[in-house]
Amino acid sequence: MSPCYNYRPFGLLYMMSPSGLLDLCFVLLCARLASSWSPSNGVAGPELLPRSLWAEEVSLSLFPSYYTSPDLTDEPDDCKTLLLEFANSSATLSGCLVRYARPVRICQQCYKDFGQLRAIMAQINLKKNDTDICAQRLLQSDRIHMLVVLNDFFEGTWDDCKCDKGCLQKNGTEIRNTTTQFMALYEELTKCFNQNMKEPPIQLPEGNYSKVCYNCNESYKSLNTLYSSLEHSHALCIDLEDAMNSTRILWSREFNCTVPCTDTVPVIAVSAFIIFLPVVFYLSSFLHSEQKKLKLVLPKRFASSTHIQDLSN
Amino acid sequence: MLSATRLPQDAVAEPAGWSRDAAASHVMDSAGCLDVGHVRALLVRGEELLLDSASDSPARSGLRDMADVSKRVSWSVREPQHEDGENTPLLNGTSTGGAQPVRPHSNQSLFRIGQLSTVDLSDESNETETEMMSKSDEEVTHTENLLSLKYESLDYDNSENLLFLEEERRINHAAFRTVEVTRWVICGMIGILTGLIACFIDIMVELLAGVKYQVIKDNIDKFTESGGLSFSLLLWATLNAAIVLVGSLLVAFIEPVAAGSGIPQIKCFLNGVKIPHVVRLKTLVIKVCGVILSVSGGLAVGKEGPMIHSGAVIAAGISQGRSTSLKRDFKIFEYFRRDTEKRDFVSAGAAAGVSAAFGAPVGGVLFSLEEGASFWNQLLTWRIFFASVISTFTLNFVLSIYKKKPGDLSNPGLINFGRFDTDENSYKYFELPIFICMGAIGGIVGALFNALNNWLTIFRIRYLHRRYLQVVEAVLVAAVTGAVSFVMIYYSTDCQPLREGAMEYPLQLFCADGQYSAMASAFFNTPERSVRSLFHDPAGTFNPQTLGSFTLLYFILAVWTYGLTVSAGVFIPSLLLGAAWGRLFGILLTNIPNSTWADPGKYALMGAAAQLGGIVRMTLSLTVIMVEATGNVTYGFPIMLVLITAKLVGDFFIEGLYDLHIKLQSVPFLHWEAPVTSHSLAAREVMSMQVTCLKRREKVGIIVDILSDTTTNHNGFPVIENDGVPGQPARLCGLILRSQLIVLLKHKVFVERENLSITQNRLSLKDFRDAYPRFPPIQSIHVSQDERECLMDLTEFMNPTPYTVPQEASLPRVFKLFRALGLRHLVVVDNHNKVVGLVTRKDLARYRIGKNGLEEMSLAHT
Repeated sequence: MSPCYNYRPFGLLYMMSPSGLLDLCFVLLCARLASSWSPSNGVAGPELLPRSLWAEEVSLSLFPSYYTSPDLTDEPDDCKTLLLEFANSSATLSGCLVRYARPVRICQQCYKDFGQLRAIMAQINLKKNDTDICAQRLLQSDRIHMLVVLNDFFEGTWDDCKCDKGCLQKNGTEIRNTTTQFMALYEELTKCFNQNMKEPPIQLPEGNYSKVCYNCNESYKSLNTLYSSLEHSHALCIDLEDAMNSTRILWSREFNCTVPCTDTVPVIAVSAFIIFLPVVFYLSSFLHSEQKKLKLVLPKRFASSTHIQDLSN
Repeated sequence: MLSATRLPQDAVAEPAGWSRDAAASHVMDSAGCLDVGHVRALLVRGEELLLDSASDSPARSGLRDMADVSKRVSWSVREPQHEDGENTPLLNGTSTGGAQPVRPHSNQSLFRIGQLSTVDLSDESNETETEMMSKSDEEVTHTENLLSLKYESLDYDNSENLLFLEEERRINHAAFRTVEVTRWVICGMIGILTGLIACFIDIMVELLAGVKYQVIKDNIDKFTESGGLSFSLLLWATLNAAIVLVGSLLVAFIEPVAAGSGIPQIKCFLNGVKIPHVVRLKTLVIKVCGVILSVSGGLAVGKEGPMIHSGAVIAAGISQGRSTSLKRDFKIFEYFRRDTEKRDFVSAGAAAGVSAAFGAPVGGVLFSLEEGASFWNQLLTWRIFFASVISTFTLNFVLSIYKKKPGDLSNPGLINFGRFDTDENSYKYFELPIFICMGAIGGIVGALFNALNNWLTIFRIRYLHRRYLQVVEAVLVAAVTGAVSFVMIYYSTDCQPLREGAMEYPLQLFCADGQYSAMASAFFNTPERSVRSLFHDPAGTFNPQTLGSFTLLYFILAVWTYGLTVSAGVFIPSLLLGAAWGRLFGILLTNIPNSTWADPGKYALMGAAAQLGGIVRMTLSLTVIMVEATGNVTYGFPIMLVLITAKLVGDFFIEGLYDLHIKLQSVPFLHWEAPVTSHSLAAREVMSMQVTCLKRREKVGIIVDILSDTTTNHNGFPVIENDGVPGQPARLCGLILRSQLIVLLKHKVFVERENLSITQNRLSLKDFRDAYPRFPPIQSIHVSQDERECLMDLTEFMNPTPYTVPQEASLPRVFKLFRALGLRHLVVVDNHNKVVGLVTRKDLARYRIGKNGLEEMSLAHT
């Protein structure tokens, strides 16, 4: 279980949108009210409510009769339970997301929370029978659509992280082997970095080469190779990308380990040769190819005076 | 001066020449069987001839005596060279008193009329001194001031002969309505097929280029670590060269007319010039393969221009309901087998091509309007728009299926500019002057581009006329393009962090891990993608140095590439070039304090528009194409300003690229108007003389001889009639075309046979259409000796009311009539309706405003 489980329940809800919460109360109130007017299902009477709410209920009772039609009165408690579950679960998830934002371990750490939220959402949306209207009541009754907004946010974030496609399997319920493999390699490399960072540079024939580059080269290479192969098979998510990214920055910038071979002379030679070819071609065709001559044809017509003038001069 | 010039006038101002020539040639051709009528006419003319001393030559004495010498005097335009030796001294004697065998201004082969036009104006037109001109055996090198003889006109004028009237009477009103519906069906099919071809090109280029770039990228990645990058360089150059070799071989050896973008050719076709092979199926196949190969071969070219040509070929093919290349006749759409109908469909096809290339249906319609607008009506516009929209929709739909997002219609064209609707993309009023400056830069750079390319093209025409040389050149350009790109990427130190979806083939090379070379995103990519990344990559993606060196090198490559023997367009290179310096411009603007408005992507777009406008000089259609491609209507105003400026500035220096290439191909292209200072020229100076005329009832032998005379390839023959009064001059009574005569000969429609077998089926218009557009050559028609003596009655088949002008009509007047009606032959007659001369396209197209006023171009065999 992740350490952030049950971490400030409802916190996110309160923080994010108080007005949305008010709407939520209103929804619940309406549900209650409706149920109290239903003769078959009088669970909560007006006497149980605080006085102010009771007043509101009275005023609402002046609504036209369609507002209290029977299909609005079914099973308010079920919906309420679902709502509470959603609240808890979303709070947990948001806590997890923030907790593992840096360094990014979102997919590996929060997939269970996300799965839970997804299950609750599915339950809300589940259509048991025709009279089941939890989805309608919880998701569409007001203009804010709090649950929908939150759910969309989580789903969008999850998609952006490419967790399901890249790092998880079995519909997002399990971490892929490749992911664990990569993370293991990564841990190994980090350990290597930590061990060798303070070591003085060593002298090699290719030039100055710090100890860390020399010692960790092997595991860096293998990590890089694995990353490339994962990239090819689209098995990457934000966790791996971020890990690789920071490693590369460390490797190239901090430790200056990328020293590519430069072969300037052969490149210049070959390119000069290729660029020289057209020059030869044009010169030779200019000098050797005979110029194309065209046969002029003089039309049979009256020439203008100019021509004659030219001739007579 | 005047007295000096008056002398020859008398010799030629007489309308005698034509019949003299006709007679002479008939005498010659009929081989002993003298045509009495013509001989009489000849005598009459001969008596009327005013002899001038200078022309006292064998020519005329031969004429009078009807001696054999006269037959050898060929006045024909298309006299082959080998006969010249015989004629030249004689003709020079006629024209110059035998003194000067060479024309005095051979270097430019131009007649300068302009300087003397004031003199002409002050005189009566009759006093304009003229002389009979002859041909020379001069040889010149190719220049832009020539007209080629290989181009013919298209017959846009309907021949309203009796057969036509008969058919019209037979087809009732309902049938004409069916014809109208069929037109719509054909336009729909044109749109669909053009869209599909565009899809095919797009997908193939993506696949081929994808394989190529993946191979090179893997190779470079491998050698970056271990050393030996020169092998990658060689691999890149070789791959480019190999792919382009195939494309260039196809074009050079199978169908040379498929080279280039095809827009100049289609422009000529819509103008009324018949470019051989331009709308054939074979051309289409070669064009499509060639484009795929040259784009994936890494040349600095685009696949958009060729789409216009492809669309036109598809239109010309479908509307005929058959393919002569495949020898398949589907027996449909027979009604449309003539030049007029074909031209309308070709303009629809060109529009559909533009529409598929840029996702710009309205731009496509306007392109057709801009290029072929002399023949236009509202209903046609509406049909063309229909084809355009269908085409872009088809492309969009099929590509959405290919990209596995069916129904996601986000690929309206081959080039996708991406969306320009963010806040940074909007412009402020004070940016408009900056845009105008960019337009001016685009005009100057475009003019430089055109001038260099013009010079290079002349060199190519003169020295690289052998096919294998052309292929070698294309291959070398491809290799150099690869090498230059590699070297640029190699030396660039501009590294950018990898982003999601930034590049398809990020090249790391010497950049830190997790970064890619920014130069590679410009060079190591198909040009379309490079354009898009220049438009949309966030600010800071490119260094100014990267963009500067890219602009310079790409300019050279693009100038060098256009005009190679590969099928490829110039739209995308222009856009890329403009986008590069436009973005550079935008980056430099950000150095101004408080310039948060300077979004580099926006300036890249304006630069692209300016550059494209500066090179091709299209106006209305290009504005609409750019607006449609960006999908942002508010850009209409700045893009219009940019294009107007670019055209103004560019036109100050040199013409547009397409016009230059049309000129260099020596096409007799008719512009909107006759040259402005040409009112002093009358029809009698413009026209060609010695018209070969036929009589209403003409001997078969004479017709066959005229048609099979290889020295003259005349296509229209005025039909004359004597009114039965001997000695009376023959009047014009109709015009008949070579193609009609050939069909008549093939079906042996002779007066004698008609009398013999009344049961024989009469010829109908269908027989003429079946032979269209490749009429058999005269050599394939066998006429026996007996049949030669038969008579042919042309009354039914000739156009009884050809357009005529009097001799005094001014050039602009003649031009207007000719251009607006799309004529092929315009007969010049005198007061008695006698044929004096014939005006054809080449007679009108040769006048041009040059540096010294009105200039005249020479005709040449090319």
